[in-house]
Amino acid sequence: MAERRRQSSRREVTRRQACALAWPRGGVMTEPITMQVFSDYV
Amino acid sequence: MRIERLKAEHNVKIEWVHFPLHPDTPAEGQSLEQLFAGRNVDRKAMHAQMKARMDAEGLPYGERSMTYNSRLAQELGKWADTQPGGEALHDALFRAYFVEARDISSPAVLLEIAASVGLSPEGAREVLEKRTFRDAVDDDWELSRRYGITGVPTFVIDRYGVVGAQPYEALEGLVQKARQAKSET
Repeated sequence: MAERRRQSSRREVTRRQACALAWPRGGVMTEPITMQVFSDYV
Repeated sequence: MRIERLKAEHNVKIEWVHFPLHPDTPAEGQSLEQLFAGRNVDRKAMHAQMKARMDAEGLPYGERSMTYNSRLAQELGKWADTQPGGEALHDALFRAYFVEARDISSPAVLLEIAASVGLSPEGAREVLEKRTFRDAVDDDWELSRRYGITGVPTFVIDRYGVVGAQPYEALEGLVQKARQAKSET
């Protein structure tokens, strides 16, 4: 029983670490937004 | 540089829309002196102003005496947007004209620039010879007309826009305003 709890706890730590890595540091998750740049090369 | 920062800091995707700035420029090009003749433009002052802006951004800016017809360059740019890593062509074309004063109406020059950013020379040649992106650029010109665009660069997100070489903060403000409007709808 204790071993199962330890394994479950380890899985939870791994999951949280994976989530932390996916989150941008110091940033806020935002949807991409498209900017049109009207331009010419001359 | 400002655009790269916007992409990184604000999750902005860029869509290049080609605008016909001087569509009647003849095949052999035109001197800037002729282009601005009778327009009451102080070319030296204009150049100094642009150079100062570019210096502030850490970007090179050269001396030019000619302008060239950019139509083929635009068609090539439109094709490049469909190729992996092709967006590098836009910077390369700007640099070729504004820094190196090259004739970007010349297919040979365009092929060389395309190859320099890793685009397929055969693919680029086909675009220039068969004009496969002619309609796509026509659509951009039509969109420019419908939006009432009169100068470049013009930055547009939904129904908001800013015109001209703007500081980073102005573009950032545009993104924030558009996001705010989106969140309220």
